[in-house]
Amino acid sequence: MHALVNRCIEAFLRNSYGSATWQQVAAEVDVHPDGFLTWGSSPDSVTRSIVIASARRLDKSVGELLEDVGSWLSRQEQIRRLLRFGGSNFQEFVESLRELPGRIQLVIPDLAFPGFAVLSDAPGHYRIIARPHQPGLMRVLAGMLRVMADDYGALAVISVVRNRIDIDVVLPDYSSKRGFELSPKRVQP
Amino acid sequence: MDMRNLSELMPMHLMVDRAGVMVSRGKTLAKVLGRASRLEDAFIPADNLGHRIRFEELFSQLGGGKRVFLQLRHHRDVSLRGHGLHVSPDIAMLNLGFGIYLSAAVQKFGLTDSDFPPSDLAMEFLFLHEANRAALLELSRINTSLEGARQSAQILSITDPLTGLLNRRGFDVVFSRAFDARARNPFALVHLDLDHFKQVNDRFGHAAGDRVLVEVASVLASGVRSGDRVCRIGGDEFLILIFSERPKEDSMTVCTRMIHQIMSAKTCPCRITASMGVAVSDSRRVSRQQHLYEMADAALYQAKLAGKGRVVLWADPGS
Repeated sequence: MHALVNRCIEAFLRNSYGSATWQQVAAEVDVHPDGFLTWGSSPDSVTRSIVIASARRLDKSVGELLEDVGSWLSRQEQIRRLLRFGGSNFQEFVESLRELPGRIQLVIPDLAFPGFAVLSDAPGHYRIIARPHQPGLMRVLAGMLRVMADDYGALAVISVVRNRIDIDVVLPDYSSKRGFELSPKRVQP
Repeated sequence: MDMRNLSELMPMHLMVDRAGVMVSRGKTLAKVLGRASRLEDAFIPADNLGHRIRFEELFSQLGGGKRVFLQLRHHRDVSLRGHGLHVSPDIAMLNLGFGIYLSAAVQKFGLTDSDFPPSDLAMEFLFLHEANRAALLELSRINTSLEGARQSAQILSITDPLTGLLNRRGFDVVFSRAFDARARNPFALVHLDLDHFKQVNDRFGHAAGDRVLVEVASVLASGVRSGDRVCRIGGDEFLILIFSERPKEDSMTVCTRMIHQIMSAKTCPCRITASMGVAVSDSRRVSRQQHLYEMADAALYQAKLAGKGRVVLWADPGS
């Protein structure tokens, strides 16, 4: 797994539960408390044990934890903006998800993001199916989708069953959209 | 073809007649042009080297794969580029783009994704631009953190963990630098050895021995000026560099005072004394770094022989 994935979980823990929680998890799975600094790849088992240890410590199921990671990730302004480039409304966003691996590869070529298929049987109804079997990824994606539905002001029912996400867009313009201008506000470094 | 459809299909197109009047414009370009009706009201035409040209020249040169550059008259930091051809002898059609000025134009004219047709790579460019910045930000966070780790590792590598003084490795670097500059900046090298330290360890234990070393280290560190350097080379041996215009006189004064302070140190379980040998960098004999070490060591040996608890300045046996 790319070390950015581990870094993401680390940042999620520090940000949502404080650095002490991260350090406890790091100590438990024998990872350096300063976290992940290089962008190389690290064994999948490291990521897996961090996820399991975090879930246990926070008293959640692994699935819940991964959905929380996805929600947190989409709420980070930089990431939210990058996601909003996907489309001008929630449906377009969902439809553009099949381009997500390509977009990620443009920026971080070695991330090896697993692909998934986006299917639609009827307008407003979508199924996202992971290939190959990636139930963890679907949990993260479901968390992201929930936050992005809010962001676009859409009312959608999103459910995850193993490696499949079902999306039912009930009202595309349920509430007001959050703003998105193509040119970012200059952030002072 | 309905012109409204054309404006939708090619939002960055411009149709212009021989007189320079803009007869049709794409919907995105319309945002840029405002109320301008003639091409030259909105643009300054330029050739491929950026030199200003007249509209008549531009019009006559269109076609044949030639590039057109149109600098915005009222927003000098945005320039459009494109190409065109004559659709009739009196009408030309141009297709324009923002090129590298895309970000500036998006900001200036408040463009949104609906301003760009699906065939345009503008959205991908903006996405990439922003994603790149995010990736760079994360990398620079990593760099800063690695630089901090490198610095503290470097400090640890030249520090004696017990006393916090320089260790031998750190001292060698400092000494070598001082030695090269000895003509401008003379100094004294002091070699210090505690007397009967082994007995402290044997009688009171190693923890007590360590406390003595820490106490001595603090006497030495506070007994020299800030530019001087103190090092524990191991066991109960220390090296000190004392910089002075008169290294002989000053170092003897400093060393004598430190010997008294060590003797009267309160935290030690018994009376501790130290012997010191001093060699100065302005002695005639010194030509290699090793000489100074040997001279200080020989002087220390003299101090031990003469009854310990004293400081001896190296003297040339020949003189």
